[in-house]
Amino acid sequence: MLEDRLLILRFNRGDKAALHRLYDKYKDDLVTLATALPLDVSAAEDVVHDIFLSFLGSAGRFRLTSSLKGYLLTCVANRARNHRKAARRRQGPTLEDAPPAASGALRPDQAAIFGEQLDHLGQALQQLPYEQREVLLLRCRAQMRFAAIAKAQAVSINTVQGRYRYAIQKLRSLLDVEAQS
Amino acid sequence: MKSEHDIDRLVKQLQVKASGRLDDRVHGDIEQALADEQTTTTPDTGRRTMIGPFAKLAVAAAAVLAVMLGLNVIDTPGGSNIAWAQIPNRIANVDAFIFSLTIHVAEDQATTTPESTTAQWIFYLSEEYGFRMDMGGNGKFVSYYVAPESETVITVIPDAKTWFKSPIPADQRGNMPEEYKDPSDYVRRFLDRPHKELGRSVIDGVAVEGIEVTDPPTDGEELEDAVGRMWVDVETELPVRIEIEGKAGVQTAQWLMDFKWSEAVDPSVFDPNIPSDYTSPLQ
Repeated sequence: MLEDRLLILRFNRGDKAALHRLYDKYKDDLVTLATALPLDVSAAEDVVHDIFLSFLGSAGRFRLTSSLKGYLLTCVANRARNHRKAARRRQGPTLEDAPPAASGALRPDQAAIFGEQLDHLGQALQQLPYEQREVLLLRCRAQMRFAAIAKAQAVSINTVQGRYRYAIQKLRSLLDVEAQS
Repeated sequence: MKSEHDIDRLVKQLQVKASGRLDDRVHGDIEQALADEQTTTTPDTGRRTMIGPFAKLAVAAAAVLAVMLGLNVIDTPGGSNIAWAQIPNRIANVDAFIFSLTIHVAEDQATTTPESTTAQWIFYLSEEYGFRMDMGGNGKFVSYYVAPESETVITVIPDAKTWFKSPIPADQRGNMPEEYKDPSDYVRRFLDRPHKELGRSVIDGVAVEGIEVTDPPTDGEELEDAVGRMWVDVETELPVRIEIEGKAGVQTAQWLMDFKWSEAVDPSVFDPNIPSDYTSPLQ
């Protein structure tokens, strides 16, 4: 969007106040993605905070080559992935690694923040393999192209399209079961 | 069974609000960075130097400018239908605009050899077609063209019938030239001032409605007794013109900003369209 290019221009010229506006514009999208990937709320906010700290340090040399929203959401996805790997190294197998049936329920903090209406979707999302969930969220939330997601995940575009297709099929199936029960 | 579209719509509905705690952390870090910067760098003078070079110039073109800036108010103030506070957001969502800034500085007629000068910048910006800037004055212009994602800038100097292509430094690519001014930011600051309504008028055949402020933002220029007027298209509710008048010592300064938005921007203006008789000494 034009406004993003202008804000980045101002930011690169030393007007860090432009970062206030960028943060306010995208903070909810970033926290939503980090929470849905999923991180607990506190870790999700730490990730978003870290991204803006890094961003602040790039003043004068940040180059916007595509959608800023897509860039920031990819940063969230990358950091969430790293966070998850680090947690697995520290704690060993987690609920994330358990079969879908065991990981289907939302943690209480997630259930509370997503609300009743989207509770079923949130639960269904947690049953998707992590990589499929990430593709789906980047595609739907950031309108990212498959090619851009493939680059971010360092896999082929066919793999990304496959993950997206499986994610949609799985969600359709899970949500229909929910609706019937 | 839910369709792919249904799933997409549902995922888009997921929304988590950032907490006040996160807001405080991020905004606090930005403020801290700003404060650190102010203690280690000198302020950007930028536009502030603009009037300085004109200090020795003279002539009284106030009357001419009065005509140029003059507007025929055809309606009386009261009962504005413009949603003024929404204008910056409306600007932020346009995908193309032309912003023309003319600054005219004239010395007081009481000085011995009064002179004046005029400088003009025209910024053309389109998400699809790129950026163009014309700068000059008194009928002479240099034009710069940058296509989207381009690594070169094309400079055209009509007065010398020359043009050349030069690389954009790596750290500048993807950015707009630094002379660029953000209209939405400026308009937001203008509207933050207390204002009075001027009623309706017509500019270039467009029905407009105006407001007047007594301390318009001038980006570092110090103008005494400054008055600013903004005229907004009553149909699109986007600015058509902003006028600023004020005094700087023995000089009278007048700013005139004209805007065109979105569909009013002809894509052909982004094409350098270099005449065949122009030469390119650097190629």
